[in-house]
Amino acid sequence: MFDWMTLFEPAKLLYAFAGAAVGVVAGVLPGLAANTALALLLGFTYNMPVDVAVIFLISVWTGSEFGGAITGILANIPGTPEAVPTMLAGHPLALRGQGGLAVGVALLFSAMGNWIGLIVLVLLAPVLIEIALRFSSWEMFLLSMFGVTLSGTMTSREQPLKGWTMGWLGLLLALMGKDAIYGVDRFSFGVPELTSGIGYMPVLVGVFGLAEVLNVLSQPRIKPVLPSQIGSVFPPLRLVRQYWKSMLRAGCIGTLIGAIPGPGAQVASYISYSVGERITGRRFSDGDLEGVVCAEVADNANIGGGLLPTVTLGIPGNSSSALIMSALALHGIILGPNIQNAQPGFLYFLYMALFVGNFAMYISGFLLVRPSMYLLSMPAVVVMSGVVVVCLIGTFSTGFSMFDVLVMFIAGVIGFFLNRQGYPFAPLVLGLILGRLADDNLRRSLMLYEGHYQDVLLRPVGTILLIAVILSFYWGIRRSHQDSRRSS
Amino acid sequence: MLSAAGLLAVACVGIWFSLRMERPAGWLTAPGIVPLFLSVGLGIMAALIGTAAIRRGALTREAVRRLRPSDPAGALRFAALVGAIAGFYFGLLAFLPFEVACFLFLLFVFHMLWTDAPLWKQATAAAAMSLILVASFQTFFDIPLPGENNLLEMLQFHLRR
Repeated sequence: MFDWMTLFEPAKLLYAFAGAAVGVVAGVLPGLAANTALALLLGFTYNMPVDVAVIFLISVWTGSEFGGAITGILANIPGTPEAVPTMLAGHPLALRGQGGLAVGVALLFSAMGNWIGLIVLVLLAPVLIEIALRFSSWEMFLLSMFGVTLSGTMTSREQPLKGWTMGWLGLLLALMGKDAIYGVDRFSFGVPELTSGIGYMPVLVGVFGLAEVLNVLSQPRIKPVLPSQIGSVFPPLRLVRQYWKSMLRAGCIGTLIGAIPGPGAQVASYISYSVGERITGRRFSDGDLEGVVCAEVADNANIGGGLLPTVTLGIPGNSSSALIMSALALHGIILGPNIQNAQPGFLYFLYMALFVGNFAMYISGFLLVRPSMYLLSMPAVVVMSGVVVVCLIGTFSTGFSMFDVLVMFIAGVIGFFLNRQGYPFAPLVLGLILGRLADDNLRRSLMLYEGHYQDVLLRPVGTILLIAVILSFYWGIRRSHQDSRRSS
Repeated sequence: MLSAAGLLAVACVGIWFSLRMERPAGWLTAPGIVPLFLSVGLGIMAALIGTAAIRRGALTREAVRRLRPSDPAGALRFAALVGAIAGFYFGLLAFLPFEVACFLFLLFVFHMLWTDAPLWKQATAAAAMSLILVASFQTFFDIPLPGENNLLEMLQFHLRR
């Protein structure tokens, strides 16, 4: 089913370019980040052949990670949350007439970041799969719980309780419907549609799509001020030689943060930016190409990093990789340690899809810098009302059920209020995806070790994971205490 | 405080129904064991969030006053937007072709939020957008659309006949 050579067929290349262009446009428009774009397009890929869906979504992801930089640098409005550091370092350059150069540097180093993430993915995926294949159901349960708790700890800084609560809520929602071992109905409340559980697709579209629409349209609109002259977008290639150290450092930070479940590109670009400032001793916010390099490389290296645990362990590294995982699940492909046996050729196809998607992002980025300036002058209400319709079509298209649309609507409205209260969505998504895995594996290990529960402590990997879960709770509590002490 | 109360209610429902679930082979492998563990955890966390909110003064008169929207017109606009989306999804689509329902919804939202544009511009944008969305999703992604009927599909059917 997966042959990487087919990626060079004209039709697939066309999908790659279309995906990258859609991604860049979504990144440019404030309010439509990578998560939103992927959530909205997830349903539409249901009718596509699975290999086309993979290349399309990967290209959307790479495109949208870069697209935010255009708005940030030229209009001083972050197109995506992860583009804030790029905006800080790049907009002062635009004010000095070097906006084109800054955007070109962002594009070039976004591609470099993708390369670093891809190389790490290629090198480490087989090793991680080898390790994960030795995991029993007890370790798989602990790994899922580790993903959810760490995600909660990392995504809600001052109040990790809110992150964990969202993770727990996601896990609980995932358990609705018939259980896998005895076929007993859980929380179906006599509603026939609930006996097959709540699909995570409608919830994802609701919290990332509809909630975002409500968020954007309920805020006063900021009219972007665009520079009249942006200059040449083509960056001199000597910059790669000049900034290679920052590039490698940012690539490592981006990939590492991507591989940790929970924090996404936003955390990666912030950390890389501040580490860069500390090492160079310069303030990037005065306008500095190196600041753009640090933020953009980390932002895009996060893609390869995020895919690493997703593909090898079945634990999504961030919300975007969770959405890619959901898209594949719609096609019956379950990511995890068995992927090599279940879908031979998938890993090589994915590597090559990242390569082609990166190339498509680079070309589309160059072509779309100037047209995107016109997009920015469009009223937000026009774009966001369209997104409401896309949310509906995207949700309906996966199951042709208006019940799914109702779930999406409720998730969107509740998601809007929870987001306003500072509850993060990443742990909820992880909980929704990992809930069934955690439930099945815990109950299976309870059956396996019946009467000899002390034996689970003799499994070293399991014990390490158990300690890691406890430590992630401890770390969150400690950090929250430190933050509250600092603020008081 | 309100969100904590909502989450606490979800946890209580979770605990209640987990305890009432069938147990075909005892407690340890019962289908309700993981939901019970999660609901108890959720309840404890919601209670902690609520307690922290009370300690920060969530029950004081000042905090209750802060719950009232600072911009009543904005709150009304938000409620109208949510109502319009619900009306479009669950009302208009039940008896109107997709394009018509989509056009009416877009026109309403544009009229409400795109105040600096004249009505003809709003109507043109709404009509163009609904046609573009329908045509692109139906032809590019080959997706059947929700709604009572579909004008574009009907037109294609008649043209083929």
